[in-house]
Amino acid sequence: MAGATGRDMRDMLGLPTEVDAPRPPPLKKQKTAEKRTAERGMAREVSALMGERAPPVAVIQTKPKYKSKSQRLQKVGKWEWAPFENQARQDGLMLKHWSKRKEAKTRPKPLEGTDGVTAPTEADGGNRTEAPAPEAPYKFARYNVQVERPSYTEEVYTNHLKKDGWSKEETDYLMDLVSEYYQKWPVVHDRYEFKPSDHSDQPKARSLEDLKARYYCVSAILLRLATPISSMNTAQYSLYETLTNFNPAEESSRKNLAAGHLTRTALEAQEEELLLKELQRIMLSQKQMEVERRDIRDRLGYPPSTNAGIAMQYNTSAALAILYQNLLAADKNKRNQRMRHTNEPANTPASAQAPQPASAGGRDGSATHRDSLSNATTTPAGRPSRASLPGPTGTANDLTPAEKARFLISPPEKAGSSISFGSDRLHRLRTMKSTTQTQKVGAVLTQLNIPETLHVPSQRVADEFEKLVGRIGMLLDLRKNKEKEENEIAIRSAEKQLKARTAAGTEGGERDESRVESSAPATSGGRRSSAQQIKLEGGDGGNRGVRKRSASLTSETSGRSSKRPKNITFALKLEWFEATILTLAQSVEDAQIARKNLVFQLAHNHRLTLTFFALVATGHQRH
Amino acid sequence: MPAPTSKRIRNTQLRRHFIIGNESYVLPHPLFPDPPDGHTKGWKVYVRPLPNGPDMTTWLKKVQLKLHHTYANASRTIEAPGPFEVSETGYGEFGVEIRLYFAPESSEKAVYREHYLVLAPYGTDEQKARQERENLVVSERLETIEFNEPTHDFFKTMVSEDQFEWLKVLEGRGKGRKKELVFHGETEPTAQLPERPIAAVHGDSGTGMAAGGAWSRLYERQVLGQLQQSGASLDQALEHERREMESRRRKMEELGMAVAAK
Repeated sequence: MAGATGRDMRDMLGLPTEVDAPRPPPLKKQKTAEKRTAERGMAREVSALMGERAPPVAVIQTKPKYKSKSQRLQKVGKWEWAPFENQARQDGLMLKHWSKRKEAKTRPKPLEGTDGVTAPTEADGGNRTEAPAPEAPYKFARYNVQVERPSYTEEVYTNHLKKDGWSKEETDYLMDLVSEYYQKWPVVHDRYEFKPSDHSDQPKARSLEDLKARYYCVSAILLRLATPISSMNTAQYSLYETLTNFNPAEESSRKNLAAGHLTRTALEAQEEELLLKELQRIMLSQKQMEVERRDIRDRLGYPPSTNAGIAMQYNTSAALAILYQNLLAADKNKRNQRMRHTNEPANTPASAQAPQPASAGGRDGSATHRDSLSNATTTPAGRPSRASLPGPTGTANDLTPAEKARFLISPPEKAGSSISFGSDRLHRLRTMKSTTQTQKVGAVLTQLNIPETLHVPSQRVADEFEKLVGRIGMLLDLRKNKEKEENEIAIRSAEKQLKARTAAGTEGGERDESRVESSAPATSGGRRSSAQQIKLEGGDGGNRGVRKRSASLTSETSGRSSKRPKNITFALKLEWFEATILTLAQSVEDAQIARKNLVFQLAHNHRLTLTFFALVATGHQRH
Repeated sequence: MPAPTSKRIRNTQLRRHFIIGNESYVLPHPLFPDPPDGHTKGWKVYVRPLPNGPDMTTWLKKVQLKLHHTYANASRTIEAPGPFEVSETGYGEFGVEIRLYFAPESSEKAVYREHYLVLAPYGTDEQKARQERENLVVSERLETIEFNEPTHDFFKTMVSEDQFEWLKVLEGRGKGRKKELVFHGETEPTAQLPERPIAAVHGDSGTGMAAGGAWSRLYERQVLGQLQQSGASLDQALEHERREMESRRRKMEELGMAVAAK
């Protein structure tokens, strides 16, 4: 329904029509309504539905624009339905096809017009159609590529091509197939259904490789027969080689591998990668190992005396001269050290002269000058003259050893540190990495009557001191070693004792008795003496019956060290238990109980229990 | 803008000996005219060169001696050329911190050295007796300072002949000739230690010892000798240890065999 205007409504409702005020709105409405109807493609009603305002996107259909018809520049060509010949066919089948008739304007005229064909015109259209088609070869005939089929006669076959498992029939069949299917082996293999004429044999299942092998074999032999090997050119020979080198087993395995690769899962692939990495690592480390082993082997062995590489450097005269200079410089440095010892005034001019001829090339002129001057102007005091000052360049290398000695110049010990003191070096030599070590070293030094501070910290003194401290270190190491070794000895001897006791029953018991009894009064005195005794006994191995605090090896440890060693030796433990037993064995019953108690307490220590049982046994024997 | 530091000479080390020490006298002593009450000793702490050695001021420009804080102006600074000494009176011994400032050519930072001021006689009885008799207690130490990789400029100053000027005496060679510096004396001036102890050249104090003359090659040899002796006794001890070790080894083997056999 059309927009229900106010007038309509009023009319419907029977209201009085309004004349004055609402006039303008109806006008507007009318206008818009009018506008609306002016729009094309949309029904009036539909536009009214949408409302008064135009929608933001006006959906207006415009008439589609069509492309203008394309212009044809050329005339329509003429096609003809003509027969043609396919050279690839052997049966001479003539087929027809549409071919385009060429426009004949630009066609070159034959010069002489042999067959009397005049310049063709449009009028001659009918005749001409025949001419081009049979003349031009069929376009697709050239794609009929034929495989070179190896052919052989019966004779050739029987002489050369015979092979087990392949009858001539089968070979011929194979040849046919191959040439038919253009050497496409998968097809050949698929279509290979050889049924031998003599039905006794079952058709063998030939694999692709088998077929290939047979075919190549035959081809190769025929090739060889055709052109003997020596007269083959490169291409032929390479072909021959490939044919003969065909290895069916390899091929099949390769194909299996490829198939496996294709069908492996992601997991397998990962595994493979890991394994490969592992392998690579091993290979690399192997190389490293080899290198290291070789290094160690070289180091263990004597250093190589004449290495060709090193010696080769000095073949040229220039190199030799340089080598000479280097050696001299090194020698000069060494001589500096020596020079300091004998720095007598009288020597200085002499020594000033001596190094002159050996000086480096650049200094030669000044050196000789100096030489003569020093000769001429030596003062009575023997002082080196003014002329022996360093040259204008003034670097360290320009000074003679004498001058260097005078001014105390030498290569530094530690590069880079600017100032150091002589006494510092001495102090440093004295201190060790740990404070205990330092104390020990200090103790030894005081023993040797070397004061805390050496008053003359010259280089010689420092060197001497260094050597000394080195030896002190060695001494300390030896002493530490000694402690350990002595412990070891004590243990071993105690073990031996134990074994002796268990082996020789009563004998051991008696020995023990005497020992135990003798140690009884000693225990009251102190543990150490009995320990001493046991040790002595153990140390002697029963040779010396004298129990005397002799100057045995073992005595030194107990005497010297004021403190007890931290790791109580086995022998000491032994002795301690014995002592405890005996002290507790004042009353027999108590002793027995005590022994049992102790045994149980020490059950965790196997060795001790063994000895303990031994002791207990002897105790029982005694009591 | 000061000139940039010259390059350093590699593989070189300059060494100089000098003496740090102190003398002490029981007061009253002519050198110390009016000591305050309670001070029993007069002392002098110093930094000296070797008597026949090169001039110290070539490398040492200033010395700062830090006395005990109870002293007024505890920090005493002495610049070149003056004798680097401080004389004071007191009654207690303490450590003097000595700060050495080097010549600017060397472009080195100052270093500290400590010296313990000794006032009472020390040493063996005989030494003590002597010290008391002479009323002089000297505690000295020879110190070597090593300049590693010196700069070019510094090197030049350190190897010039001028260093020995201070030892030379201006003397005329004859009529009409310019006066020249000539060295008199027995020992050839050199930076090395002298062969023998030399008597005091400038006569600072009476005895040659205090003037640093005691430091000689002779003394050095004595020290070396002592070290070597100790070395010898050490070697003996080492030998002893080694022999013991050998016998122990044998014993161990024995025991080992015995234990194994049984």
